[in-house]
Amino acid sequence: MYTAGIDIGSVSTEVVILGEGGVKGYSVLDSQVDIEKTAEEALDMALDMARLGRKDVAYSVATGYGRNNVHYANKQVTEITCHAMGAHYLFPNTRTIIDIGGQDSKAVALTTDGPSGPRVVDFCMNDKCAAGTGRFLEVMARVLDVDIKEMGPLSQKSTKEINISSMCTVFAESEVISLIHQKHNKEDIISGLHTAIARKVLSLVQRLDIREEVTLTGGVMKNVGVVEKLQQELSPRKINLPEEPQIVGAIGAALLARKYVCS
Amino acid sequence: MTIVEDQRKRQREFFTLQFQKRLKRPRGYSPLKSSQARERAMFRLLLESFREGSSVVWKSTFVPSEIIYSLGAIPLYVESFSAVASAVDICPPMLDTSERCGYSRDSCTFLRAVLGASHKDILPRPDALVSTSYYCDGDPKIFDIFAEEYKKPHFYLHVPYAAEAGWAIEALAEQLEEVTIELAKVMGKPFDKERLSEIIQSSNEARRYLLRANELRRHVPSPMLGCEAIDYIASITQLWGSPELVRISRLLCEELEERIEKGVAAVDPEQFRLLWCHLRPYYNDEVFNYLEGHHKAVVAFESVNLITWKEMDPEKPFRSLAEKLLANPAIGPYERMTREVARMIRDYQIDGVVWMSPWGCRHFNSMAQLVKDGLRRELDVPFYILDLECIDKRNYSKEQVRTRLDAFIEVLGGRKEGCTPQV
Amino acid sequence: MWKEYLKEDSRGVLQYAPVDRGKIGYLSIHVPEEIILGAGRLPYRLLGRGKPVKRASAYLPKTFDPSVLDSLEGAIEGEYGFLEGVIVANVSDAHRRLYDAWRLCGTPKNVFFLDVPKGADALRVKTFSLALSALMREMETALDVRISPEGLREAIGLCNETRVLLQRLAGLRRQKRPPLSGHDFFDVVSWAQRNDKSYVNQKLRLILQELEMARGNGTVGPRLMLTGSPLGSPELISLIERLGAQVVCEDLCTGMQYFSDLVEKDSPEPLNALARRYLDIPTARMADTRARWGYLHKMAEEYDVDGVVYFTLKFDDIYLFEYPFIRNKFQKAGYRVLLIEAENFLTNVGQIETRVQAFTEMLG
Repeated sequence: MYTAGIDIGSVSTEVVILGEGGVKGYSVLDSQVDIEKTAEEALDMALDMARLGRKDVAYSVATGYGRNNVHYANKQVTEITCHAMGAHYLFPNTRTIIDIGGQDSKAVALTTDGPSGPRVVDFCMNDKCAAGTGRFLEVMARVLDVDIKEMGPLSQKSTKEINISSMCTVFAESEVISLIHQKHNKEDIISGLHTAIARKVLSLVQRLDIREEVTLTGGVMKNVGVVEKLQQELSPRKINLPEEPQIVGAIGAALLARKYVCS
Repeated sequence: MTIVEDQRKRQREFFTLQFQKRLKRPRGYSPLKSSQARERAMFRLLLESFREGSSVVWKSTFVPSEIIYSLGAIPLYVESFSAVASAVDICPPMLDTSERCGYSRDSCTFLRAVLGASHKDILPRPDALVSTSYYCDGDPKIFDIFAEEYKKPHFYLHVPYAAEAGWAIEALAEQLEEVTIELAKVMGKPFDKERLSEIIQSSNEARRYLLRANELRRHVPSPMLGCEAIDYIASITQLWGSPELVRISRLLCEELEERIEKGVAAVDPEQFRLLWCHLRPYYNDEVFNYLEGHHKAVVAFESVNLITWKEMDPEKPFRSLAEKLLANPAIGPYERMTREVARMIRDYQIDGVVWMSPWGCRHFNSMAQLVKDGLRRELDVPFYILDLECIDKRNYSKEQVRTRLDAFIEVLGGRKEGCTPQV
Repeated sequence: MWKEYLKEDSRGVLQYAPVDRGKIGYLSIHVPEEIILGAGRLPYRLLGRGKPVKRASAYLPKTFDPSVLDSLEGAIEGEYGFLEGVIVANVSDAHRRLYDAWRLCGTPKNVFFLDVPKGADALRVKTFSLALSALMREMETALDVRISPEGLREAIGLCNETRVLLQRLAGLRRQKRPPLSGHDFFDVVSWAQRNDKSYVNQKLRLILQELEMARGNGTVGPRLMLTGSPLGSPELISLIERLGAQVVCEDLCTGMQYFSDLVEKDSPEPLNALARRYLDIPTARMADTRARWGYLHKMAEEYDVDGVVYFTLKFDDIYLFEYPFIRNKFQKAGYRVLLIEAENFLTNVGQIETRVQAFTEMLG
């Protein structure tokens, strides 16, 4: 039996096909204005990879901001629960999940106490401020005139980290512009930005009771620079990084779909 | 600024129109008669204050309206005015005006809406202004600025932080007496202690009914929607001391008793019972409708309806009013608030707490995490700090709020076995 | 030369302050230093660390007075561990919660609270006296001392002397070319807030001796007044002065508010005298906007300023609500006003530089 998990985020859309023995196929697409169309395309791509057709999918769960716009999904669950379930599936000792997405960042606390498996006990999300989200990096990449995907590798070449002290996106933008004018290396500035984002996200995580192990999820975790800074800030706790951090929510959704179809 | 009757008439007509618009607004529930009476009473009070010959005293949250009624004046509770303005959707231009004047968008929207409204001169003009040091820092400051603008006296009450210290009651009672006597001078009439005693008695009577209503709301399933109940703001309403409040609260009790007797549940089937802390979004009912209608999670009680003071002694009005003010759990160290929240959780068999945090509300935001952590030490109840705006609909994102509420309901569901999936 | 006096505090101070005299920290200048002195301790003003906040945000919201978050971070990190206690005053919502959070997770463990009314009339003074005596009783128990009226009177004399000397020093800045910069002045005041008063008084006399003879070599750029949120460091002042303007007076708690008035000497009731003086400081948090404006206007006239820089910390409500009112008053009185909004330490320097420079050009 196969189930599908569809995660429609503000930046990207992911679909995971789950079968006996694990993930059979997945896809990642940029989210388009037409959410439904993107969701269809992503589903077909993932099914192609799994060599399956739509009729093979017994149940599907949609999550993410566009979750209510996926007409083929049987049920909608928030990305908070889905990321937690996905992270727990990949790393069963996970108790805290940190997810940095395009427009939201969140920290989730999980428990496995009780008879019926893992469940979310507490969570925190960013407020209207974009400082700890993928959006923040996007704005800064534009100011620095670099590809957002290069930010991670570039930051690793940093020799002298620059302190970006501003917590506010608007202030940080002006701070970065001054730094560019002062002829600081882009690499060093980027490294500083990664620290700033890690600090901001940490302020969310701290509001929960942080338990080990901590699993990092979400598209921004593809950025090695951010991951490194988070590891430093959270040290010495045990940190897990999934191979494909951005599909964890979709994995969680597919897992929940399996649960629903069985119950 | 000289007031001409023509202006007052226009203001009155403007608000009458707004009120009629408001009454026609569709609701997700059929309100109790008492709630409708309450809403009418609030508007009547506002319209009264535009009448020639009316004396109006602007007050901030904790200034006891009892003393204002005792002088035959009408209290204008300014933050409550912003709530009304938001409900009838006239806030955006008021907020824009305040921003143009230079007020920061990071500050309290309740106060900024009033600042904008005063700039546009659509408010009933004050004869005097009274503020207290609680809730917030902004109040006394802008009241003094208003006082200068309207060329009227401003009286400031310092509510001691050490609410439980012996000297605090005396110190506050003395200030209350002083303010009342000064206000009487402004109104040009002698202070009538007997009148105040009568009003204290009426306030006591309403308190007894509202306490009874709060008790009735403990019933499972809840007889009343939070969406409707929260508007009573029993802890701070400016109707305290008015005969209307006695009538309204008596009617409320009767209606709740009737509902319980007939087995009417506000939310059917009642899945979860929530405690809501802080006020509400006034620009629409969406959040409450979503929780109570869609998720069947009834807001069983609200922190703003909490009555913490004891019955007042009409013979000692100032001392009693001081005690009433100081009984507020928002005063003093955060442990006082934690204690009350814990009590409400137990009294109302609460499954989860939603602590609303508007961006500009320093006072309430600042306690959120402290109270959450404090509760975690003694009670295992999910607690979510929800970023949500009270007044400015332009700072409300439906989807963002829904995702957070959905996730919170999933957390509550996870605790009730069988309600949601476990992997 | 005179700047050397500020540097030798660690050594020089020893002869005035025996090592065993503990220090009590305080954050707001509405906290009477005389009470700390009366308890046989040294008052020590906390001015923040100017570093990013990490752990403090686990307790308090981010939309919060950044200087308070900074103080809490220092308390969590143990940076104030050398203090015997700290007094937090009820000057804002932020400070009330600082008191809560500090008790939970900060050092030192002795955290005292002082309630401060926002008015200075008779009943408010009476309330404040009651709050002060409650604080004294608490300190007496925690520190095992007795604070006597004589002790208070002696401390009043000492602090008044500091005030008079600082007033004289500030007076020098009325000259066309002041002998010391705004940055220098900031350094002197924060030094005076952190060291033994008799030592400070002696050194201040020497500083005055030198500077009263000296001739200013400051620029002839526009004379500015600085007002607004507390500044923990002179960074903003030096930025302004680097760009060719001169800060000649400041309505700041790390500036001239600190010595705005004297305490009534030899009062039979020293506590009441203290209550009156400490409520008379016309800070922005006080409700009386007329007194506040009178004080600011007088300062602007006395120091012959060309323009006013109004500084607000993000989320510092008192100033956010006061600013438009004060700006309008200044503008009506013929002064130009520049608003600078920033975090606790200057992060948006480029942005601020452009604004300040344009302002200076406009006034020049």
